[in-house]
Amino acid sequence: MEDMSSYFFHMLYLAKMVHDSPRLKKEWPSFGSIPLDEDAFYELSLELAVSIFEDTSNYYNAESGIETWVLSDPAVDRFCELCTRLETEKGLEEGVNPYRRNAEQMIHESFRLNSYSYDYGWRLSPGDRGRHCILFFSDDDFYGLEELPVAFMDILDGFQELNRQLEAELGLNKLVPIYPLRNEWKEAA
Amino acid sequence: MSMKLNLKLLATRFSQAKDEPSVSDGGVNRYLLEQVLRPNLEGELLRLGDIDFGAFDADDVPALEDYYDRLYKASQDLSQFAQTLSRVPPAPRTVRSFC
Repeated sequence: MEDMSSYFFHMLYLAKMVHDSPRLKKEWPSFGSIPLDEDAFYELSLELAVSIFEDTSNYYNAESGIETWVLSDPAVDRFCELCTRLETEKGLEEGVNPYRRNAEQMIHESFRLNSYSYDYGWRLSPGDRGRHCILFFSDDDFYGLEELPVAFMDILDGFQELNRQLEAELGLNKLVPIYPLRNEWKEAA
Repeated sequence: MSMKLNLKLLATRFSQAKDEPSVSDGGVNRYLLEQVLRPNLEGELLRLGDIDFGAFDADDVPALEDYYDRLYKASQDLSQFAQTLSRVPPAPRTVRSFC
């Protein structure tokens, strides 16, 4: 019996993820012709990893052997905008904003990969230069490319969920906030 | 070290075994099992366009993988058993058995 290793199932899972996402499927006209084999699996993983965030760039530094991914998206921009608005309205410091802490925790959890030789960061503070983004770094020993699409998707979904909660907190939608502000923050406001 | 095999007992055990798959496929999505995994195991190259993604949930994929892992282990065990059998040298009987 052939040992199919895990690529077959992982690819099936990723393909299902693409199929269930109208935005991803729309951008993928050749989706149906991709064969379910190991070579196509890595191509699919890479294509998918660069397609999840609306703006994804990656740079390879040949001297250091480090590849840097810069992930930006309107959902991330919206999160930063809503956080700044909440902090202004409630008189909160960035460091005690529970939504920023939840975002950081969500990023940590999403980047728990089975591979090694990688690092990550974020530029979400109003004090950071350039567009707000998530950063992912990997070196030549990194072998977890196929894990990135799910990690990126989890992060994007996480920001969209946090945005819904923030909008509820700010009274911009009718949802009840899941993490209501603690009394001391309300008093500070 | 010599090893003796009781083929008569082995045949009895086989005949007593229940007529059911050695690895249960309970809880495995039928579409994935019959239209995706089986053709692939038979060497058919599927393309993503051949797959009906509406016929299963994402959570069905890990269940299929778990089933495949158990099936693969069973096939390895069976293969090892067959190899063990094939390595046993035949021993001549001391008395005539037929005619």
